Amino acid sequence: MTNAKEGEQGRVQGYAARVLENVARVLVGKEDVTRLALAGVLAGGHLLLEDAPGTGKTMLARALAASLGLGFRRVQFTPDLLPGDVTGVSVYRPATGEFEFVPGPIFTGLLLADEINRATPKTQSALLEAMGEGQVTESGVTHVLPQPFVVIATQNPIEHEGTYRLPEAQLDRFLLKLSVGYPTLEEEVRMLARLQGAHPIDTLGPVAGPADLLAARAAVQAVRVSDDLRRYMAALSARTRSHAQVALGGGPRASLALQGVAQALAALAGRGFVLPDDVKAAAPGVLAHRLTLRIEARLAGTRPEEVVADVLRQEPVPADPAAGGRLPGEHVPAGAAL
Amino acid sequence: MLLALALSRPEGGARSVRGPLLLLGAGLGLLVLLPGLRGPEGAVAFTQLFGRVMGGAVLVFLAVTALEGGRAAWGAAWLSVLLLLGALWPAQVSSPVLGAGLLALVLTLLGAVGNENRPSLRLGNAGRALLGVGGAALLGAALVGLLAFAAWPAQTPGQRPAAVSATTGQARPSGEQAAHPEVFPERGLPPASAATSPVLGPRTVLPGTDLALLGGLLLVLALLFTVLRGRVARWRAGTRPQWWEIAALAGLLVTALLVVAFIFAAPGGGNGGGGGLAGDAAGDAARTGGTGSQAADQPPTRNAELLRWLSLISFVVLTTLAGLVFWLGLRLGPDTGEGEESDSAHADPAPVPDSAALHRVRLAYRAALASLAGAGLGRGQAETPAEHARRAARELPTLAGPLGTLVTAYAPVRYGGRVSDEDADAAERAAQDITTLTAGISPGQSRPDPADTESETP
Repeated sequence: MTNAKEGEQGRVQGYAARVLENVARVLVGKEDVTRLALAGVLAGGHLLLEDAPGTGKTMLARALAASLGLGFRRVQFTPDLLPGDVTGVSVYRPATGEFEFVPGPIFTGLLLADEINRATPKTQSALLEAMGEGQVTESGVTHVLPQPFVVIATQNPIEHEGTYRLPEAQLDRFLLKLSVGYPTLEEEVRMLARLQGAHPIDTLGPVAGPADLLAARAAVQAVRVSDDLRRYMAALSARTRSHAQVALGGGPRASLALQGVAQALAALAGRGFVLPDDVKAAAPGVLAHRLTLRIEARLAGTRPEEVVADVLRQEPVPADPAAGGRLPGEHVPAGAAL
Repeated sequence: MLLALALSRPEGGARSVRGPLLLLGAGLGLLVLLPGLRGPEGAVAFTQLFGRVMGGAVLVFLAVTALEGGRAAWGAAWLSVLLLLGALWPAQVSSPVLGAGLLALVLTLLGAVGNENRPSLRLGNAGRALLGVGGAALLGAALVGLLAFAAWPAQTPGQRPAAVSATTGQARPSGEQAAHPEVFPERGLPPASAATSPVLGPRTVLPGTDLALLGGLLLVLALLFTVLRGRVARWRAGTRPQWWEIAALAGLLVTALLVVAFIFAAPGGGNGGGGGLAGDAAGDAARTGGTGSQAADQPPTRNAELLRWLSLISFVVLTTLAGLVFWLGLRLGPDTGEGEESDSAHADPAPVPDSAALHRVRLAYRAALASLAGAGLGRGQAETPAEHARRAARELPTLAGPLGTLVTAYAPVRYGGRVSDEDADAAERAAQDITTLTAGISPGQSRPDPADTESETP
């Protein structure tokens, strides 16, 4: 059983390596964020990429879609975008005298919601049901979305003009919020050299298919999580709620997200079990966007990522065998010290 | 049956319900017909009926699924196939298939209610494995049983075998047989007649039928055990089983009962329960003046030898499958002291490690921790073993090698629940190296991370 599971994780590792290598042809020096993004997709979640314009958010989404072999649709969110422009509308057909549902761009494998915070909250909320339930309801009729279905949304920081802050419920639907970040000087030079001619995204082909993604997701779900690591993750979420600088902390969905991403990171590393290092690597992306800071903390310039780092510094990691106890299944010879 | 199950898509909500429902409906429908389907002729009739009913159900399943998915052309095509078959072979197809079709339609509509609001298939890996193994087991059992019946020699009317005594296995004279004992001079059996076709006696026709019956019973018991154990595990997890899961398992059980029932219904089908059904056949034989089990003392024929082997094979297959299902039931059940592991359907069951090696690795890690703490490099309570190892290696680069080895061996022990003797050996050597390397170092000579000193474990 264990060998079989390790074999599955090995296949996930190989699958991930192909995808990461393919994306790296387009994005220079963004291996870490690409890895986290892929972990989010493997964990069955949706991603929110936030950063300044021109840092490669859209390119990361396009490269991931192309590499994963998913159907790809892009919606440029603008203030006048209506919910029906995303989900689809019912159109009256005079010939038949009936309304016919015309699916919107959301009926695809990977939807890029570009600059999502430029649309009104009403349109943003049109994505809620699709992201949470994998379905769209229009005129009282529910339409199931194809699987796998992934939303990658990008947004500019809310300090920029002409943006609407995503509501908490919407933010909570995103498994991870990632920041691509500016490249280093060397990376930018390499990027310039690589993009001097035709853009590689135009020729980027798939290295896997939707079925591979579904299989990889199943393998990720089988990654083992020990009981005390589950407690550790739940404790991290709870600690965000009791943190002095936090008005609204992470809920049970945050703990679930933490577990899913940690499992995916373990599978990406070819492991059949989660390490606390996986949890720590997942925590900033999973927790930070779910925190609402107190007003005094915001005024003091505290960022949610700093709160998460503080929580990680405070919460004890389950690492030692219990003092005087033993590990599950451990046989202590007679007379031996524990 | 397997096709119907295979058509259940994990992400398909109501579609996942239809397969098991159709299976249950077909099983229940056929169960009603069982009293009229005894003996080898009945087995052949059952085979044909089963095929028609399941074929019809699958066609309806495909049609409704296509219609629901907006593929009207495909839906119409599948229904047309059904109608075409009924038009071409009305006597063969119409009544059972249309009956099954109606039943399937009702069940399908029932399963489709609330499709959009129902979460995706909740059956976990263990449940799917149970359905797969159970289905495969029943299919195998049914195939073996049908093979045995198919090899049965053709009989003319009135040549049915006689009853078998529940206690002695001998033919049980009844009706006219009892009234004319001269026809059955020895052991109540009629004399062999060379002029008649080789109608086989109960003890020689199916010498291994009792074994097949026993195997079938074992399989049913194993399935019952698995079902009960699975339910207990789910209840302990605080969630009620889904109604369609129960329907699916009930469908499997009904089909299993059908297989066992046919073994009972077969002539000579065991010394115990088979007597009742065989008794009816004997009555028929007596009424029609049949020769009954007149070949009891004859040497087995070629067909009888074949049947004997098939019965033995069926016993082996059924027993193996029963053991497999039983083992699966054990895996489904709550573990002693590990109940929380069953909370997650996808959780990797905790592997059984080499307990002695595990103890050695743990002791090695603890010894190394003590040595590092003595050198002022104790693990901070919020540090993972890997983070601790990196920090200690930064302070004392010579520790990088043994610490890496130790943490590599310790992580699977601590978080993966497994270890090998080689890992334990490597961990002990690494711990010894760490102790040696840190022996002469006092806390003041190393520079512990200021962020961790306050919360270091002793």
